[in-house]
Amino acid sequence: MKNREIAERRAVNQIWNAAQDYSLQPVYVAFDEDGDADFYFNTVIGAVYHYFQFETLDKLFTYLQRRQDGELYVELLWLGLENCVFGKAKDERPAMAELRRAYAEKFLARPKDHVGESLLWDLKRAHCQRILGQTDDLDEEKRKILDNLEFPADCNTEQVTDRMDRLLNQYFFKGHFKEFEELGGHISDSPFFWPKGWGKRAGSALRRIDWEGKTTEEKDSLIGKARKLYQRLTFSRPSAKVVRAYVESCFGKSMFSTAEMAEIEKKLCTEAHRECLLHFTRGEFAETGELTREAAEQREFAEKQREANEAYFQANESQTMLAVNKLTERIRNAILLQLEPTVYRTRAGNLLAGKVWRNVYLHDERIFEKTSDSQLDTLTVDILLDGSASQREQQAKVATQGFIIAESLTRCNIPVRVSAFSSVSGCTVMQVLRDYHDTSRNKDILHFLAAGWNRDGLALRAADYLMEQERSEHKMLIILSDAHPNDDQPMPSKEGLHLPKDYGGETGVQDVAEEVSRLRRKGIWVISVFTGNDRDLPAAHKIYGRELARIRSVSWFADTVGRLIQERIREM
Amino acid sequence: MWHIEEELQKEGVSVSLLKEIQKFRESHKVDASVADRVPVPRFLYYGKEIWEEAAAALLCGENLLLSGPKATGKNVLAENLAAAFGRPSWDISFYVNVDAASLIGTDTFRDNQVVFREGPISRCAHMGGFGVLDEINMAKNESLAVLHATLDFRRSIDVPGYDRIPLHETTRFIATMNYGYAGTRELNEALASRFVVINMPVISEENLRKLLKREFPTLKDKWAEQFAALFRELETKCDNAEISTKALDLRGLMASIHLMEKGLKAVRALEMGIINKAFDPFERQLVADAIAARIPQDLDYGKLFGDR
Repeated sequence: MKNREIAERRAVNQIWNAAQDYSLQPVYVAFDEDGDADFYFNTVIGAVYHYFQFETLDKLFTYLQRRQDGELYVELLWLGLENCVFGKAKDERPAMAELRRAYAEKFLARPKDHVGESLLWDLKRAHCQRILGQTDDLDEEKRKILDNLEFPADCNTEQVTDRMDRLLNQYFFKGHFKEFEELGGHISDSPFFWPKGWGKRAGSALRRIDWEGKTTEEKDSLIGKARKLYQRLTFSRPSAKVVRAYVESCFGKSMFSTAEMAEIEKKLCTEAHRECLLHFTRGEFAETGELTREAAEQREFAEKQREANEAYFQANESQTMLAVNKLTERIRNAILLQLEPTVYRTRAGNLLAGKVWRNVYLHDERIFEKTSDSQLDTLTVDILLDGSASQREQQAKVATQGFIIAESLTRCNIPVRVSAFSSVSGCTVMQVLRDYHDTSRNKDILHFLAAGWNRDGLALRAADYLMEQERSEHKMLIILSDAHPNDDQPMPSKEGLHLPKDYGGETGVQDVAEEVSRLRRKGIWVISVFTGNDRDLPAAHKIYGRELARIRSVSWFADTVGRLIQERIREM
Repeated sequence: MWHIEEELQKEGVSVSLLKEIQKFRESHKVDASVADRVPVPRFLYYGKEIWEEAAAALLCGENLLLSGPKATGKNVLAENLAAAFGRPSWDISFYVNVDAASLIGTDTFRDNQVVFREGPISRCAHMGGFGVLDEINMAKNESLAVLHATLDFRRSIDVPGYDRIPLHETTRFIATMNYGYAGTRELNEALASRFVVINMPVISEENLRKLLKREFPTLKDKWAEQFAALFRELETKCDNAEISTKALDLRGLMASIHLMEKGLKAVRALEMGIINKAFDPFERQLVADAIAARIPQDLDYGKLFGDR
């Protein structure tokens, strides 16, 4: 995980903590000049969420941002809010006063920010001086601005917006927030209005956090491309043969023969998945003559994606290997702790003087003992990656994380299989990127390709089928998922006049939940590493119960899986 | 010294239940040889509903399974129940290698004879005690099969080669099990069906404040509130899977306040009692941030204590 991500997650945690609301995605997050989370200001931001209706304030921020010199006004508003929130929170959080003083001292010790607006600088400086109980050195007009800006503690949301509006009208520009709001300010909270580069300005106290890592436009085009895999085939439902040839050209040839596949599909593609197809592949391509133009195009697209994974891996190799070392160490420790020597009584070995009586009176011959290292029960780990188009943006990251897990487990001699699932035109594709005993094929995980939809229920059945082929005392299945099953192939209607239902929403969730509980009944330990947003959290809980580890960024995946495996080993 | 009954009355526990508990206690005298095993609890379990459920179940002769995450007072409640019912109690910790011999008993050699030496379960059954089966889910389910007859309607322990030991009529078993956030071992159905189960809620902010004030009578109200609020914040963090449960440690919080009583600065004491429980550096950072957002750096004995 990169430093920036650590700092961001820490900062967001500070905000959540102060707001006591972990569902919010804060628009503003504060960092200091070194790029570390600014503890005091993040607590202030969280407190603003806590005490005010942020929706209204958010509109006000947008309104200010759209002005010329918008950043100045935004910073001014934060200065005012800080003063107000501090007044509200200081009794509830006794540490606030001290944190605030430290914040002010740190600010005053800073050299002048040359990029910054000088008015803003003067006001902030004077505000900090006042915090420390010093007299400010402002001229008359600036002092009046600051006096007005330091909102008193008893202000509510409306009073804050009113005061800010009046202040701006008096000293800066003509215009009223109320009018803006009535004229449809409510639609303006789209990120589209934010000036470019706002998030990247170095040294700024506040930066907008980039939740997705990409702008909306970029996102559309990326997902669009990946979804194309399916769109080309949707005009008329193509025959099974066409679909199979198609997935084969994109993902690789099947690892089972046609007869075996027919048998597997007969077994697995039943009930809600009656009309679906399955395709298991190791990502190997059959070198057979000419490809159709479309297939060639798709192959090229897939190749490109794989190259991108490779490039990302290369660029981050040193961090990745560090992560591998750390994870290996952790798992190895967990195993070592489990391997306690066991002592058992035998008919030969070291004599147990205290048991001799048993031989005399009970004719028990086992009065000797032997020590041996206990064997750890066999554990196999299956990692199942959601390979649908929704993972497209973080494909390289997911692949790298998969590599970290596989490499670490290889070093600990734990068999691991990494597979990805996606669904294209009703065919659920299982890409087996690395099988249990492919100890030298860990880099093949970088062939991970995200495309199409995800039919989690069928994918779980397929994973189960693969797991059945291996004997092991403990089986663990870890699913990286957003708990948002979604497939364009509907669920077939039951007997009678029911219409087919879409595979998605509640029905989809229900289906996956049933599959998960079926697997659990078989004794497989199923856990999900959840990457989705709050909207899908209830669905995730419904499917996986409490066996759910939530990660806010996929960079935490390997770390979390390591922890889960450790826990599992400890209980073996 | 406080009387559990009075405290329960104060907490508003149903009077008729309390009367029945009293009747139970009076009609079953404790054998003098184990009288010292009747616990004298240090903490009171706060939570009227849970108290009523647990007491009713035990009065009906049921065994009790207390399930819940850390810091929910499972063992405190178990101890309190034994005290309220006036029964001797046996604490039996379960772990992976627990086996029938360590529960029921084993052969021993005494006066030139092989005799049966009672294990804690047998002893408890014999003396009509309350057996606290701590962390029952940590043992392998197979090794617990010996308890099936003990826990169900048969109410007896049958040791091959020895006499059948019937359970004394006042014998009850209270099992506890930790149900964590990242999943722990499950109890199998055969065993679970022999208990009535109470899902223990995490202590409420209000009850935690009461608990702190009882344990530290001189702690100022303001700070009791702060510590309770801090604990709730950490709990929210756990619920949202931002940190593990390691730092959500009520014992650690109490220990920290004890350290403060001895003169350690609050921040240092919390570091030892709470922050350092998490071993992952980033997790520690998140916990430290939550603490720093409430507890000033220079908070010490003089500011913390003084109420009477």
